[in-house]
Amino acid sequence: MKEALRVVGRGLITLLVASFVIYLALSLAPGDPATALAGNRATPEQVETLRQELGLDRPVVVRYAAWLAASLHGDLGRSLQFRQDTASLIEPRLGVTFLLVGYAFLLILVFGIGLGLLPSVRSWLSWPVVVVTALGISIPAFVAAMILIQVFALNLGWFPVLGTSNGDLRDQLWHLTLPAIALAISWVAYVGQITRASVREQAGKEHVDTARGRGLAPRAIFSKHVLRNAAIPIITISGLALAALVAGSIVVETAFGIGGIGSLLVTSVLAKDYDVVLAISMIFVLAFVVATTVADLALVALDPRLRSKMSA
Amino acid sequence: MSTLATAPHEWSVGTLLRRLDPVLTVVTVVLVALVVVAICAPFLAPYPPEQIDLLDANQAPSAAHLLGTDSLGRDILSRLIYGARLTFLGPTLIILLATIAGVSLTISSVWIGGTYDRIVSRALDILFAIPGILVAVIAVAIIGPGLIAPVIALSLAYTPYLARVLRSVAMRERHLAYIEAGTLMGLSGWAIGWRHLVPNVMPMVRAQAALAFGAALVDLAAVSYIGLGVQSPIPEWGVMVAEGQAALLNGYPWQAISAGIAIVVVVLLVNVAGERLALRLERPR
Amino acid sequence: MTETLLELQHTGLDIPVGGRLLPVVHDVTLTIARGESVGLVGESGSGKSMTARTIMRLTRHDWRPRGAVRFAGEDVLAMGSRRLRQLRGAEIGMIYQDPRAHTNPVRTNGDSLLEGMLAAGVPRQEATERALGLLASVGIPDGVRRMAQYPHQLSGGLLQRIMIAAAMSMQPQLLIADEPTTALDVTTQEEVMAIIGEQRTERGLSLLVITHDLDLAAAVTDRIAVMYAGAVLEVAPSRSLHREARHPYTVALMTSRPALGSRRRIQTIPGRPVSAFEVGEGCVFAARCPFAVDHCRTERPELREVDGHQVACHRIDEIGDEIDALRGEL
Repeated sequence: MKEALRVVGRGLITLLVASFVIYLALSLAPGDPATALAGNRATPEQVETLRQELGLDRPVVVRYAAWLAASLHGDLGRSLQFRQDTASLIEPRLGVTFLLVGYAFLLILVFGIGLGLLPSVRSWLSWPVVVVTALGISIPAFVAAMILIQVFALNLGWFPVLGTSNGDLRDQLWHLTLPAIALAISWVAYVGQITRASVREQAGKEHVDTARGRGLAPRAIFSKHVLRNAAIPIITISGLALAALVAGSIVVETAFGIGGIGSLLVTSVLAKDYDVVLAISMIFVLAFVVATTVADLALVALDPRLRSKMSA
Repeated sequence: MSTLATAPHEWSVGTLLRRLDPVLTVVTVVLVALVVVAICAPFLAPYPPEQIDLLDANQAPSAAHLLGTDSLGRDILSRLIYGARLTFLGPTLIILLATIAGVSLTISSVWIGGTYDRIVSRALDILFAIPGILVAVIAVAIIGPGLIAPVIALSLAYTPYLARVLRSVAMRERHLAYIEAGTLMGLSGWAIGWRHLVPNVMPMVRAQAALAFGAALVDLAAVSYIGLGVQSPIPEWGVMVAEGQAALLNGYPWQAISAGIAIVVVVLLVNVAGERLALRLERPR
Repeated sequence: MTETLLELQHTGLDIPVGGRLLPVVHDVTLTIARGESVGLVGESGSGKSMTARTIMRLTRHDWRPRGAVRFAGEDVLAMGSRRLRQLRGAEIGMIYQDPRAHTNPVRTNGDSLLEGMLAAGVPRQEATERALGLLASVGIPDGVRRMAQYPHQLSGGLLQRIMIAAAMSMQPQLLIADEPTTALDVTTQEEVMAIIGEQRTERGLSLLVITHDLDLAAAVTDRIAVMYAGAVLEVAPSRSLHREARHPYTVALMTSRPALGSRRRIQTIPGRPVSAFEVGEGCVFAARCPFAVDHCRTERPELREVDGHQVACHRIDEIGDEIDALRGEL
């Protein structure tokens, strides 16, 4: 319990510092929001008044604290590009991104871990799995996107080429299938590699021989002594994978023309729409910290060595 | 099985060949060849990379254009060869900067220890919590599109990654006998750090740098692909995939697919090299 | 003491290395009677532990055991996987050199203690009661608390006691103790050996103690088999091995040990110890043996009876005086 609190505390501190660093970094960006907001015909005096209204004359720490307080109340500023409230701009797109990331994460868990376990079911599959995962790791999401669109959308016509659906969940998932595969592919391979390696390592451990020497059946040995122990590194990597998928949505949403927050971030950067860039960056960092913290908590639950120190 | 190992004085061409990893050798030769091709682009590329020929647009591969032409009639092979330059240069700079930063930070913090070590470690942990591509996008928001912002950003993003792997090695080496002997002989911390610690962590640095190179190449090409990195019409593989995507949707997949495969092949080669270097660390000669 | 429980006849083990089968055990011939305690002694790398693994068939699928291993008359090498699982644990128990490495760190001590019994179909309630009784008998009174703890919360000595309790829980007829005290500190070593001894007398257990420590073996066993480079070279009563060693290797081994209160110089065996896969056709000790002749290098000697010892040496009848002279220095 104490260790769990420490993990959560560490996550919160990371979140706070990382968000401040991002705020600080973006405040260094050239261009003056007040000038931009006031428009071309504003006098210097008007711009100065607006600057004071926006609080731009105050130190960055104070502005950050104000931003943090406002954002906790759901006020994320205004989008210059869309002339709209940032929160209401982001909100409808958030669901699409989370659906995409969740879909890809499911693929990673099922196919990544499944791929890594194949060699322990059929030992002749070891070599093919090594080759497939080595290749898979080397395929970037945007290259996977090209190949998937060419083969499964254009040639075979099984999936739509681009865009999202406004229909029911089934239709949405159908639209998100190719993007999720593109997003997941290198991580499926990576998780597969880690799974295979840690299962192999654990299977060679001496305590597995002890279990064999006690007359346990192979199935019981595999689940209680091999898989149980291999789960620890697999969960660490899965947590990293989930975090990386969130960032990966930037690329995949652009590739497939999906209206999530990833593609919105790209257009906002190009449009110098800083409030939106700031808000989305923070959401990504939040998702990243949450994913790694949940993985750390799972580790604490799974590994007794992390929970308690020597007491004998 | 140590008895099977050859004694050091029995060196010969035979043992040398056996000690060389054939896979690593082949992969290295191919990668060096690709770098040479990129450097010699003006002599090797069949066409100037920006030579537009609208009458010859969207051609399938032929004897005149081995990989076909893009929607402006530019030769895809020539653009790939020229594009290799920035595609390789970016990650090289990133890994170079990140390695220098990672090695100096790790060695100094392991050596100095105390509060400095704690602050450096926490700072790196926090940097680790921000995904590389996001750092790159934020940097572009500040500095503007191009190669410079993402290279700086990704160097920063890869520093904690390299530092983390190094830290465990450095911690281990620090307590080994030869380092302690050096301390007893009155060598200064920095002398020991740079003269003894650094050479001993170098094999690990090489392996990790190779693995990180592949990841950096992918991240950088991705930034260019989403339009925030290298800008068209400058040839670069990420840009070529992005430009090629429009053609692909119109039924001309040559550019997107060939640039995509080029990325996959190079990343695969670099990854294999990294794995092989890491493998050598596990099985010392 | 006459009924044979375990019988090894020309038992060997080949392991594939880089596409070739290499022997790690050449030739072990040994019997253990019911209730008897036998020591298997040798330098590290002599194949002791691999012999133990072969007895329990704790081998990988591509390892190739040779010869015969019979347990209560039944051929262990011919057993199917189901029969083998009954043999392991329920008939032969084993404890290991490093209890920490041999215990799963993420499962509770109770899990490790009960898993054998549960696998054999003992109800959990009964298994738990039996385990608590066993823990008390190996000197762990607060069994309930210990069973809820994890291995990292226990010292090596405590962990080894739990391993002994786990091995005893299935009421085996033979206990194989593979260097049971090497990883423990000196004071715990004695306690652990005492516990093993108690269990043996209480249950009429047969014991196979594998160790590199001649004194330890002499203290807890009836007979000792001396192993070198994958082969047993001499089997002798524990009491008389020290004074009446026959085989040139055993004698050399005796004279190479320091003894308390003795002023003689320690003799070393010339040459370096070799592994089983490095020796050729002949006697495994031929390369380092001062008495070796051509015959020794071409044909492997069998164990034969000499004055109450079993000795594997071609020249044992001819070199009696030289051996006596060597031993005289003891």
